[in-house]
Amino acid sequence: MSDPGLWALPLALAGGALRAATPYLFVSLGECLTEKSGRINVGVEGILLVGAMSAFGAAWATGSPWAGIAAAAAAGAAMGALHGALCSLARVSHVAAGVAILVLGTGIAFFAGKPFIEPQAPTLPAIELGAWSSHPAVASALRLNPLLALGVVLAFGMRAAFRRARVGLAVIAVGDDAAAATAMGLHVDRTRLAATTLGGALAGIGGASLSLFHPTGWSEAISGGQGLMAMALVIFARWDPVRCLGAALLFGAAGALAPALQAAGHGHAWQLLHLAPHALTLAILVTGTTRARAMRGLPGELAVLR
Amino acid sequence: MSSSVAVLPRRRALAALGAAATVAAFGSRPARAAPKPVIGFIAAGPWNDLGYTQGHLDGIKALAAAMPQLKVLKEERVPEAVEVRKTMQSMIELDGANIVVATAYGYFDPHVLAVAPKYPQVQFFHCGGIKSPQHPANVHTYYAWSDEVAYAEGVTAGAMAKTGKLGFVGSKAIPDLVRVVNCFATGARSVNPQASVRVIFTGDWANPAREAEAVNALADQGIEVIGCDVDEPKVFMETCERRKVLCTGRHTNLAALAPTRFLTGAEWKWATPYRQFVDAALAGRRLDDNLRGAMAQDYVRLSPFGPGASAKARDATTTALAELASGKRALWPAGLKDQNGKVRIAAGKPLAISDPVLEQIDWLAEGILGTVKT
Amino acid sequence: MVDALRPALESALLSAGALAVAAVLVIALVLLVGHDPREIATTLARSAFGSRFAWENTLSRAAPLMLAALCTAIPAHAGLVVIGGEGALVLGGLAASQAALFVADVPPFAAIAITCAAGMLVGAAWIGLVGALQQARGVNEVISSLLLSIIALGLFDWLLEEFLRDPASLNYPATRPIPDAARIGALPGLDVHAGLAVALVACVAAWWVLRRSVTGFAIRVVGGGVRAALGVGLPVGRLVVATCVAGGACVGLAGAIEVAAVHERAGGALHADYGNTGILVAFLARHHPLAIVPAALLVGGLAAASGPLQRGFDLPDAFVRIVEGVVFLAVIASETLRGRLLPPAAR
Repeated sequence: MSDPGLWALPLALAGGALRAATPYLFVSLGECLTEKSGRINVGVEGILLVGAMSAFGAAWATGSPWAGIAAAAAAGAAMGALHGALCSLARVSHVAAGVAILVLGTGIAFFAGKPFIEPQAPTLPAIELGAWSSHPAVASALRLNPLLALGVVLAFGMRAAFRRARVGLAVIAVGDDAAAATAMGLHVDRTRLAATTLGGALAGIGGASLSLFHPTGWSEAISGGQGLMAMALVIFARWDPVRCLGAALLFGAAGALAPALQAAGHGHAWQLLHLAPHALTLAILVTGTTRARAMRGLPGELAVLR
Repeated sequence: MSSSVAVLPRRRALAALGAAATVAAFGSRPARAAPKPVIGFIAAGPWNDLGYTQGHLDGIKALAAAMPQLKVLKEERVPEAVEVRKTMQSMIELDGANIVVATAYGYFDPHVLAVAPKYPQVQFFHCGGIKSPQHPANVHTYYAWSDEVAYAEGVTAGAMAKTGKLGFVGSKAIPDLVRVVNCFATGARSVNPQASVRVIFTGDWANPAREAEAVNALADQGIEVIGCDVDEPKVFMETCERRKVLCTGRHTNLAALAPTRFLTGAEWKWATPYRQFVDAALAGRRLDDNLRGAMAQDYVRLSPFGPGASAKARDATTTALAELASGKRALWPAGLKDQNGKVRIAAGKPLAISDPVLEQIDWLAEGILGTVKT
Repeated sequence: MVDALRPALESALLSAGALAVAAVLVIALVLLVGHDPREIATTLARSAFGSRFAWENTLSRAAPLMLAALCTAIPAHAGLVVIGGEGALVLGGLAASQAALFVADVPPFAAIAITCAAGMLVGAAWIGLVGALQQARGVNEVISSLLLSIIALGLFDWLLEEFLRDPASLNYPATRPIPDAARIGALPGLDVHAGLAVALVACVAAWWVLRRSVTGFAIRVVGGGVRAALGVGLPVGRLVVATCVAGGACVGLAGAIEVAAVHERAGGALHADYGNTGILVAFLARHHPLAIVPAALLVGGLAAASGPLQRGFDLPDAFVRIVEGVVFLAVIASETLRGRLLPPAAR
């Protein structure tokens, strides 16, 4: 085999995007749903960790990765519901509630996860899209996470629901103007609680992807701040589920850039490369908003982001 | 290598204060009975991380098993800040620790150095620091050199790589890691002179997502064997197994994580120095200021070969280790060049593993592709 | 009852109630993991507040949290939620470590002042940017402060490892040690560095400015509603940015003090999560600058107890995180009872 050098870069970026996008996608879809209903959850990093830990624990105990996903979704939903319940109390800061979820989630994940650091659990079976290729790099880049496939369907489904379905429109109505939604006969608090709970479940599944597919395993360093990044990603995608998919792939590819460049022998200032997605999101925030006009796509009731 | 490596020439005579403190602590004076040793261990990471901190935990467990009467304290995830100072003091003040072992690099200067003078009767041991004469008398450092085991890993890796393309995933480009990478490369090139090692530094002590990406990037480049030195190598090993790339381990025996691809690994054996700390305390003996050990002192060991290692590679590795031990082969050979072709070790003057210049090494050896900031 | 005292009394009652609820939840957790709650409680109280050493331990941990909390609490008075103190703290510490290298021959007091000023300047600029972006472009401060914090941490690593690393720092990459003149020592008679006094002064000063001065009143009007503030002709933009600058200066000062009093250099360990824990402290104190002191003591005390709990009961450090989370949850949830617990007398 000849030295692929920089030619491997596009392949590495594609592979990185497919491998690392899933947690970003699920957390951002969950956060997108939460924010569309007029709430923000800055604690998704905590839910991601709880999801990763419980997915691993359940998969290890039952021998089935699918049980792991169910456990992660349930744990995430519980955390999301807790956040939703806190936010529905009058005079409770949504950001503070999110910080509580972050601290509590991290604590629970680390505390309950101690016995899961050493063992190995069954991982999710990959969809081998690259089985046709004799080139191992191609075959590996195209090992598709089944959760990513689910996420793609979900992203398009959510967009369609926000545009056409009754339930999606209800979420948007509640998130844009609570008073008007109430006048229309919608239950604002109930809708928001449901959206936040479902958002938490999705973030939990994002965690399951970390511990059951890539990078796999449970460790306290497993997330490396990907939940925080996913919050930025929602803004990057301007609250559109399909654009969340694109942004998740982009953020995933960005994570593969630094090691791919180093592997090809170009090793300078890679610390800065890791910052690229954050700097880009900030730039979009700065250029995309003005004082007079909020960002396109911003839910009107998202007081904290106005 | 001789066994004198274990105890470096003492860098200074005991100061009067140090001598008095030693006597007070270890009680060779009949007037005062020797207090029973109470040993406290402090780590920056979680104990069971299957990595650097677990290496220490294994040593602690072995010590506790060998001496069931001994009171052993341990505390995890202590930041390298005011927290570690207060943790050391808390172990001493509340639990009566008289031996404190600080295992993270950032603990030494200024934290251990600041707390030690307040408790002259307590002996402080720091992993990886270098004590100099102006430091408090009751401060000691210890460390285990992995040069030979890394060299041996390199030999195995070099013998297994048909094209000679090797990789290495490291955390930070610090001297201890640079030593390990250099020995890995030198070992590989001793059996395969064409071998190259592409090194990726992730920039974090532990960042599983980046480490997995690094393995993928190296595998995509057609690398056949990857070595590692990151704090929590579990994900590294599992990713190598998945990418069907041979790999070597670090810190503890990681064979189970890559059942078909594991070659061998560089393990710590901290049980040895930890036993020495307690034995010295019981005997009222003062250990050396800068305690160091390698294979001959049983401070490090090579993991048993995994199924990935061929008979030829095993033989080459065993031979290399025997020749290193007998002095027939130099670990840091005379005339060794850096990656840019500059001669870094003078002709005719191979470096011993204990050479102080290696403690601040900042160049990558010939055959390594990658950069360290100098 | 004197009306002026009602909010303070209500805050105290709410906090006490919340702590009681949190205690019940923690006791349940302790029983769940099979320990005796009385033993845990005794150890916790004794190792956080039970002796002179315990107090020194708690105070040492609380000092940086007070300054970090001000970074969230001061802008909160103008209605902003700033959660990016961590990045400003490490950059402030890095700036201080570099400024200190130039002051070796300056008298100690001036050397310390210059070192701290450098940290405050960089912290103020970093968080000031958050306020400026919010005012100039309408960029939401929650997200921008979070992003800027992550960017600051990356910049810190890059600057340190590419440009400022002392080759002699070997296996713990760090800047050159600062000269003796710039170092902050311990408080007289206490094993706690003088940064604690600075933090207490900062909390009192913030209280005075925010609650007693005309400027503070104006800031609180802005926090009460931008439209009303504009209506009475207040310079809203300048006031908002000023609160961010002040908050940033406090957290930058925390970084500088960490360098001058604890680390004696800037290295990766500056990133010890004080900035993030400070957010917790600020919300626990309901952003009241004086309440930050007991809130920081509570969080610092829990941290101080983490060690004895690990050593005595084999509980992992995450146990204290859960306790923190439960306490925090109870306190912020209790906020919903405000105004209902002690309703103003009917007229």
